Amino acid sequence: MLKLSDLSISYQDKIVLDHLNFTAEKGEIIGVAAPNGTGKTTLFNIIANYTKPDSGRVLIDGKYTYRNEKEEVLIHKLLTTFPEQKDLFDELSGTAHLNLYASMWNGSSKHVPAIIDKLQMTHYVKKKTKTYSLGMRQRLCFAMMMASDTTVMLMDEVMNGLDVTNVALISDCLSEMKSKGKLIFVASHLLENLDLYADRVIFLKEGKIVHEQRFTEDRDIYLKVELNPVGYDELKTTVELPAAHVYIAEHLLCIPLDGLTLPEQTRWVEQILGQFGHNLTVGPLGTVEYYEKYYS
Amino acid sequence: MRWNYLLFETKMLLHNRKNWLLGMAVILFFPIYFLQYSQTDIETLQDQKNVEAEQFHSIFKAFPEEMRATKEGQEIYDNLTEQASLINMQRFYLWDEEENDSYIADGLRLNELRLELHDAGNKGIHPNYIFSKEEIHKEVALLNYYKKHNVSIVPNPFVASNYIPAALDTISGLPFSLLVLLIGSSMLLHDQQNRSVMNGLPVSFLQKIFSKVGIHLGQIFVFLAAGIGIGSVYVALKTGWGSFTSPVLLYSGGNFSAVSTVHYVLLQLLAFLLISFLLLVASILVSSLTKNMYATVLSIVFLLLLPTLLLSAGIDASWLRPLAMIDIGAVLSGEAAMRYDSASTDYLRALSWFAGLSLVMMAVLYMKTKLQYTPHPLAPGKQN
Repeated sequence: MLKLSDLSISYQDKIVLDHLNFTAEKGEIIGVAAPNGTGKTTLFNIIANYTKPDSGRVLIDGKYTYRNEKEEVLIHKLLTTFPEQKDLFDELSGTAHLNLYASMWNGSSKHVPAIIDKLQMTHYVKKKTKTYSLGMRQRLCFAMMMASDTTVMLMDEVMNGLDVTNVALISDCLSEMKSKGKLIFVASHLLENLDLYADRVIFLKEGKIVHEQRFTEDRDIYLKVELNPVGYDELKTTVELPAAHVYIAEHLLCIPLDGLTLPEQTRWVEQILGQFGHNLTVGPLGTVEYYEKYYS
Repeated sequence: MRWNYLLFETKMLLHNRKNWLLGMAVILFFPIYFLQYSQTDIETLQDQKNVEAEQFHSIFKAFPEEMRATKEGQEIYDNLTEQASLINMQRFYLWDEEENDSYIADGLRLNELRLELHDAGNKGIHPNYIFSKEEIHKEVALLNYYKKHNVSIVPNPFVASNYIPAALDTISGLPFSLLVLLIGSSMLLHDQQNRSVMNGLPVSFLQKIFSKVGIHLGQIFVFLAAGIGIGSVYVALKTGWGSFTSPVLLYSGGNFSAVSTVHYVLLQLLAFLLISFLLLVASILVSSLTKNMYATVLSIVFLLLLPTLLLSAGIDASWLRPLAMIDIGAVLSGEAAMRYDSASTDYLRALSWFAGLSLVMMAVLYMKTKLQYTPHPLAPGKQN
């Protein structure tokens, strides 16, 4: 559905994307994790052709690329980008915004009331957006994406300003949209939340994808223990840690269980429980752990 | 989708308070300007004929006595005598609408005599009292129109049918251009201010431009139509409707012809339409470069003023004449042709220029859009 080939862009001396390649299919949610200023928004802007890359190309649906304006319009019929809250029209109601997106992409706004219900916006959606709170605006922006109902959606900072209830609500909607075959890119700082609905999370660093975490495949299981650097150094002197272990952000020791025999696994559990029992967890590395691994 | 986009842009336009304010100004202009117009010293047909009649006292007084002794001199004197008589008869006919035909017949004969004097070299006539050929042709055109269309002569210049073309002539040129530029100045505003909402809409740039220009043109003409309507009713209540079939002089190809008021007003509106289109497209082009609506309006206004500024500075700016023709009132009345000493500066040329310049602007916009998709060579470290 979407293929990024050899994308590169740099501003002055800063390389933002460096020969980046990536492929995604319908029915996937791709999380994009990276600190601010590492190219998430630039990547989305290039996919939507708001920014021209220095090299490389974006191929959508196996045939469309940004060769001319006609193709751009064809791509934009398949693709929407998440509006920024500050760009909403203050003098228009939420309904007017939703009707715009629904009619521009689907020629009809029949499905708008259902979206309003789903996102619990009924009590405010008819008011002008200048009266909305941050969370109300964010829900409206998300509702606009739902109203457009395009195959590809690029959502930058989709959970900004949302409370826990609304994060859960939007997460449900994302999962539902995925099940309907949408390809959704989500850049969010709520990393744990990404684990709930994303199929993959890519980590951008120095213009490249340094890691791609796949939630749909079997993942390595780790013994994870909170450990300060002093404790880590002590542990290293007393026992020989497996070569594949990782010590993340100077606070989390992760020992892979994969490749260890059952007695060895038991020995490590006993060892860690004995020394740091209350801090032990078992499971795969999550987005938060990978994030800390690459960016701390 | 284009239709939906058009509807949305229309909705945004209806929310634009600045344009409503400008619209109110246009609508109010027509009744308010009449207060000033009705105080102006406009020469009525009676006034004109009275002045012409009075001039004959001086003409006869200044006529050299010795010339009357010659055959040629006597013929000229007889011609002048007949002219004086005809003018006095016309003064009489103006009192009675039933005598329109006589007024016209005498008028045509009068101008024949005037032309005969021109052919004879206007000998013995003081230069101050020579009726110019241009004036003769204008009057003949009007009289022929009255005769051909069997239209009654309207002696009152303050009726609605006379006022509306005059009011439109008054706003033509820089005032109307400024109005169009100010109304159009916010055309790209929400595309810039609400970028992330508007950027990805599946509509091409040219479709967006045509939609915006189209609805802004519509809005300008709704304001104009409302202004003309309200102005006409107001003036009609004050002084009467007059006749919209009465003649107005139109300059074309070095000559004057008389056309009906409706014809003249439609020509004015057609010119306004083309001027508005040209200025709206130009403002989109300029604002895509300046990214600032004030800079856009100022730079276009400066361009429009340039021919006048250069002319007053004594610099030849004939190549900027198409811009000067924005003052379509002066073009239609032939004033522009005289001002720039160019017989070809008529409405047909003006309309052709407006259409041509609009096409050029659209071609530039099209090419500009097309160039955005031209692949550029690898540019590491490009400036952002």
